Amino acid sequence: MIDAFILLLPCSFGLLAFWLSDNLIIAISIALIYLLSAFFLLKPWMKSLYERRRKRKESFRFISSFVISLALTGSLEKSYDGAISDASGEFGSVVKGIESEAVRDRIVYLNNYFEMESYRMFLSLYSLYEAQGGDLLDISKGLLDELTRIEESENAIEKEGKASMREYLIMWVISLGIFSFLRLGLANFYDALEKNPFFLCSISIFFAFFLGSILFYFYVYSGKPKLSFRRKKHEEKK
Amino acid sequence: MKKRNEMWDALGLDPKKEYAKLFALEFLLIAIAIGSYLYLRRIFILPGVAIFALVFGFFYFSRYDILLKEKEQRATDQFVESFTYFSIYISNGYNVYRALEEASLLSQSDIKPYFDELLDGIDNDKSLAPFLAFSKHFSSLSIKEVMLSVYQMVDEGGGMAHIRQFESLFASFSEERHLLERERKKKTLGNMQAFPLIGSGLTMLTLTASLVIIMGSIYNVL
Repeated sequence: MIDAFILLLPCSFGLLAFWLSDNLIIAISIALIYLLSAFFLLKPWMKSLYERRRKRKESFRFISSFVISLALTGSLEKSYDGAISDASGEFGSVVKGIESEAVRDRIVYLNNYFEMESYRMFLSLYSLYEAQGGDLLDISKGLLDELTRIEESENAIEKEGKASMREYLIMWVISLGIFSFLRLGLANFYDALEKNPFFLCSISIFFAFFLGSILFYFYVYSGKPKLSFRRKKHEEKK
Repeated sequence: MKKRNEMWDALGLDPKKEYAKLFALEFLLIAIAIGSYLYLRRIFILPGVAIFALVFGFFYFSRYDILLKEKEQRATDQFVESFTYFSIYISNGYNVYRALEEASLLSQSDIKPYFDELLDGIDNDKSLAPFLAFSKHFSSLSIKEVMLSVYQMVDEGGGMAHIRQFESLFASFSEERHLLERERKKKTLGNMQAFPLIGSGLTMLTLTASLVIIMGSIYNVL
């Protein structure tokens, strides 16, 4: 879906710029800049956002299912199997890749996959439980409560963020619509407008401003991610 | 001046280095201005660059406020993480001091010095003071309440009633923090809704100016 969006965005804006300016150089420049921005900035930001959300949900499901099952059955193997029963995609392949290890090592290893503070807390809790015993449900109450609060809050942020993004994009579509209506409404003047360097320069500035604002919005929306070209630990192990 | 030095101190920055960085950047701007003036021989470059240098200096200094707010935000996030660890250890029968020690070992860089200060304080002073000193690093009053409940656990023994009181206060603080975070994100995204309006304004300005130029040229031909 992201790839289709990345190709569609520069092509459609290149075509729109050509329709508005009748200038091939401006159209190609805009298409190219949009393509590079979408490929090198938008795609990694959105990918990182979706990955963080997916891992947060997976770790929440894993921890709560594992803790509750371990407290009820007392079996490490059964609790682990129950917690990974719905693992699919990247999580499924990571789980499959470590199935020959001991259950405890698998649980510790998953920290490299999740890379989340909540999972590190779970590991500390598990080590404490292993070393000293006690009522697992009682000692994990604080962690499970905090995880539930994080999950509820993040779900609400996700929902509100989507609504806000919809509004933002609709407003930009209306803004672009004004340009298009004027293109049609001022058909008699438009030939003269297209030859005016000031108008061509303004169109370029408008598209640059549009790109800048979209990039800034998505940068904030995706949680201001930092790009990293470091290979992940579990990929290295494979 | 004093406030700025305190700010640098809180951020762990060296005032000499910060001034050196600013002067180096300003010097670079002046050099570019003089070079451009000598090359282009346009006098307006000099006041233009002077205004830019002033504005740049102002924004350069105001970024410390933002850095300080970000640091406090990070420390508050780490407070929640560390006290989640604390609640795990307390629930497993640790006394308050040992639970704080364990939480301190697992805490992250921003809050670690506060924990060290708290543990040192408890070693030397058995009163409420070290707990209050810890809570003063944060602007949230709820953290103060949480720390008071932790002190009550020390002072009156870690009975179940005190543990429940701590858990309830900590849960409401965490809830409040998540709510504030939600509101902050919503507000930030909401503020950006102005961009499409600016874009529409830009479109109208562009077209009006272009049409005026074209009409002017037609009038001149006639």
